Amino acid sequence: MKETNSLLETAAPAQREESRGASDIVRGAALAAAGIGIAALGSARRAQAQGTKPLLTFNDIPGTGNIKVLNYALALETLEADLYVQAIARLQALGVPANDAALTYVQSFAQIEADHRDFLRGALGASAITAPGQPLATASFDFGLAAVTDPNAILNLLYLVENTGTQAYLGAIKYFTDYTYIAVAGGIQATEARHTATVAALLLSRGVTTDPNGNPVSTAPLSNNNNGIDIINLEPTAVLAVVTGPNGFTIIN
Amino acid sequence: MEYAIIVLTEYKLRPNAGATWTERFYIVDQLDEILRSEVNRRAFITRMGAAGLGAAAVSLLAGCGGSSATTAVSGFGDPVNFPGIQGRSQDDLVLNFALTLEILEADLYRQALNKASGRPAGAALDATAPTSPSDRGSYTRTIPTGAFANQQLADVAFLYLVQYAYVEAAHRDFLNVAIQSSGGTPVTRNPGGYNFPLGDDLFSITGLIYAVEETGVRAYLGAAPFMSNAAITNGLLATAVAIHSTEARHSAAVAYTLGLEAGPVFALAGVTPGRRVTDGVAAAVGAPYRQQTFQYFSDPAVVLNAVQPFFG
Repeated sequence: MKETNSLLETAAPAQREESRGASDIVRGAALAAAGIGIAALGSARRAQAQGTKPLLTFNDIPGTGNIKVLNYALALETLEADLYVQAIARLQALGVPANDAALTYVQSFAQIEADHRDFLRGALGASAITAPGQPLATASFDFGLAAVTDPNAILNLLYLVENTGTQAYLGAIKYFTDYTYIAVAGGIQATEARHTATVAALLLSRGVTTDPNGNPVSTAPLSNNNNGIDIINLEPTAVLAVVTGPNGFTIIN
Repeated sequence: MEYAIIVLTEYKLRPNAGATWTERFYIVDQLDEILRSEVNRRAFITRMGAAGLGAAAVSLLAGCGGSSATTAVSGFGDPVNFPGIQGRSQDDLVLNFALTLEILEADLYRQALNKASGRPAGAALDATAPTSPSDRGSYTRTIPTGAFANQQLADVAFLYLVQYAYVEAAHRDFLNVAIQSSGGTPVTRNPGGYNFPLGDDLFSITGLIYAVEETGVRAYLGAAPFMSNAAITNGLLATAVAIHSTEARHSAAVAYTLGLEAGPVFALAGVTPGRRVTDGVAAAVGAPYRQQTFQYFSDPAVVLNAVQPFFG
């Protein structure tokens, strides 16, 4: 497998585990200590016992049907919301001015992602993956940002995660069992798309033209890319294979 | 009306529902409407589901009767929700509704690009599409930039104008082929063409593009719940939502060049009235950033009415 692994490549989790270098995403993102990882979703205790971060599949997400899809969304929103909090702190620590468009947009998006997380939590109630006694009840994440010294690398990670989030929703739509939550899921998904486009525009304005996977930074798919339409075949398990497991973000419980 | 009373009771019993009286009256109005058709019923359930009312609404409405939304009927239509649109099924109606808007949007971009680059209004897009995020093909801006905050934003706005012109044309062609390949009959370009109030500088043109893109995002999200259950599993619904998110990307990128928030913004001049996905209410709530938490939607009939002035 090539060194700069794409978040969007689909591969069987087992193959990924064998063939991925320990730091493809990490190295690409210039995030020395980061792996992407929701880790521990269903098995925090097992993870601690084994001293590893479990590789999760869609099967490991609690619930069935609509609830499972919403919990998958909540897991990603929880990760995103936490990433934004840490990204803002790091951008500020690196001296990005308070009135810099990069910081003002990111601060706005942070509040929106927290709202998404809280909304899904509320809707799922005791079924939520973040509810008391559930795997992500007290989870926070280590994205390794403390080791990053370039604000652009932080923006680039946000771009990659938002872009993946946009397509993750599309890939999960077919697992809804009816239309009950379609409008609200679409209502969240469009905002992820907006964030992706805005962060892309910010990166381009700062002279960054390549994402952490070596792909061009683009506000939207061009006409020569899937007819200018976001892809719909990013399977939940493929996303989880990147954000969890040995190369995933470190989870702190 | 007894249905409405039960729903209101359910709503009231939920500690976090927080419904205002306006919202409750909205529900009553919606119930009157949904008793009339299967499709409205589903759209209602979709919106109520997000407010925590899904289960109650579904169990209430399961017995309301009505024909299946997926029934394929030659010359099928829904004059209330998709006035003027024809197809064989609900999915056809949604796709032809989408194609109606994509034809219009692609023509807006083509005309806007021609004006911004000093070409004749009727000129077709150049054959060579941009192939990288910095590629603006053979186009060069010839009109004044206008009120952009700086030259870089104006340059970026022109770049997006070129790139999205080809993207919207690709959406149009994609839908046209998709409808045809499934045996349907795509809507065609308006015989009289399309008229747009294009300004004389890039900033004002970009402002019109922004309003139309925002309307497009709302339109897709308003129409998607009218699709069939089969569309959930066969990829048609995901495709519609995927086009919706690319329009959202365009809107945010264009907003960036204009110095605006990424959105969605609830109240925008020239954009069809929005409704909340969480409960269908036509209002925004809370602090400005909270108004950007969820995309708003517009009802298809409202959108079709709003774009009529652009038809020549």
